[in-house]
Amino acid sequence: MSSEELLALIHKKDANARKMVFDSNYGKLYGVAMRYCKSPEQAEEVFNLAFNNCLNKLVQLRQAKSINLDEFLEKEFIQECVTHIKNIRSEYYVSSTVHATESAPKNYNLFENNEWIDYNHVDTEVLIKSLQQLVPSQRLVFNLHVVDNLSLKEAATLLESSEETVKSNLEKARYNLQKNIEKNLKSIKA
Amino acid sequence: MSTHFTYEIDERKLRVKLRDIETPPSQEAWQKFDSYSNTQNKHHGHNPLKDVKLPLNRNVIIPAVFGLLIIFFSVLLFNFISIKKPVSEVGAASSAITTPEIKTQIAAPLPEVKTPTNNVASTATKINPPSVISQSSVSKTVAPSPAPGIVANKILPTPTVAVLNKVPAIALANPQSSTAVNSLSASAQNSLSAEYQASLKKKSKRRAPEVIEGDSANNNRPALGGDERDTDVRPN
Repeated sequence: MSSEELLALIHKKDANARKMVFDSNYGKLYGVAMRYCKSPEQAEEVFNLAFNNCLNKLVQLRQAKSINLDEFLEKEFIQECVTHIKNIRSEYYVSSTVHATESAPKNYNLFENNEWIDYNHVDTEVLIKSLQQLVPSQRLVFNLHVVDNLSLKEAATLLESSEETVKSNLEKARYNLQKNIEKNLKSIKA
Repeated sequence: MSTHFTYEIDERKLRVKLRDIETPPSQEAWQKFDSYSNTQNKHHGHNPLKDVKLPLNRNVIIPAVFGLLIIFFSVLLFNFISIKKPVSEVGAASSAITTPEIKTQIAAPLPEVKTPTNNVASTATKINPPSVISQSSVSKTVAPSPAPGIVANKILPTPTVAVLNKVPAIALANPQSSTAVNSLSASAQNSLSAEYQASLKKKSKRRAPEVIEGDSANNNRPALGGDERDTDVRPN
């Protein structure tokens, strides 16, 4: 079935067409949700909400024939994810503050950090887990700018914050991600 | 962040790795999504008002609130301050201009009547203090005598009449050219003369009994005896 026929069926709210779209996009979009959310449970919740909203938008779209379905779904899905995570105020603002004020434990063992880690060949699970351990503001910025290739300005617009804030959060995210990977690798080895 | 921190993650490889993450679709996931979407669509339904999105944010609301406040205060001030001229004065002036009372000007007696009475009054005060009301009687009684006061009494009204006759003559000759001042002065004269007459009547009413009562009062006043008078110095 061509994408145009599929879109025409979605416009008619056909259940089979919806299932087909779901099957073809679930794997990729669920991966996106896993990157943006703090846990698999939240990822599942966000996926259902965001994908449902995407399909509703697709139904309401007038010039649906001229769009690329995969691109449209991905873009809308990312936007929905960001909006949903940003709207969880208790996590987005409070946890950031807590992590910012948290003092790092002092380590006096000078030989502990001498172990060399190849960050470019880290397991995907460790990478996802390290990413999920970031605070929401840093996680969102890192995903938007580094993974989804949005500019800092676009990310700032999407997050409704200044470009300076986005830059600052990005630097913190890079630092914390590396530390998280290091910590998670150590915990696996131990 | 530590100053000795070196970022060792290659972001290109990280991007490729993270974007390639895919989870195989499962029936369980579809059922969950289907039940979720059904409940959401039942809850919300299709509300036509939901499509209408008003861009109401603080950039719109704050100017609107300030605008309403300004309008409210301006209305409040407008209620206190009236810029329009008072209608009563303008209306009175226009009515005075449009209706010049010529007849009343002719017939109106002037307050000049007072002047002749002075002579009579000076003579009559000894007999009768009110001058105007008792004027006729005084004039009758004193008429035969060629006193200068009586002559003045008879002659003096005539120039006033002559003056009055002149004013309407001008007004009649050119009624349109007569100004509001003339009409106003005429009406003022009328009102003055009327007031003056009324005041004279009042005075005559007051003074006449006073003279009588004064005489009777003087007669009836009990005279104090020399014994009754307080000749002694009063104590402090």
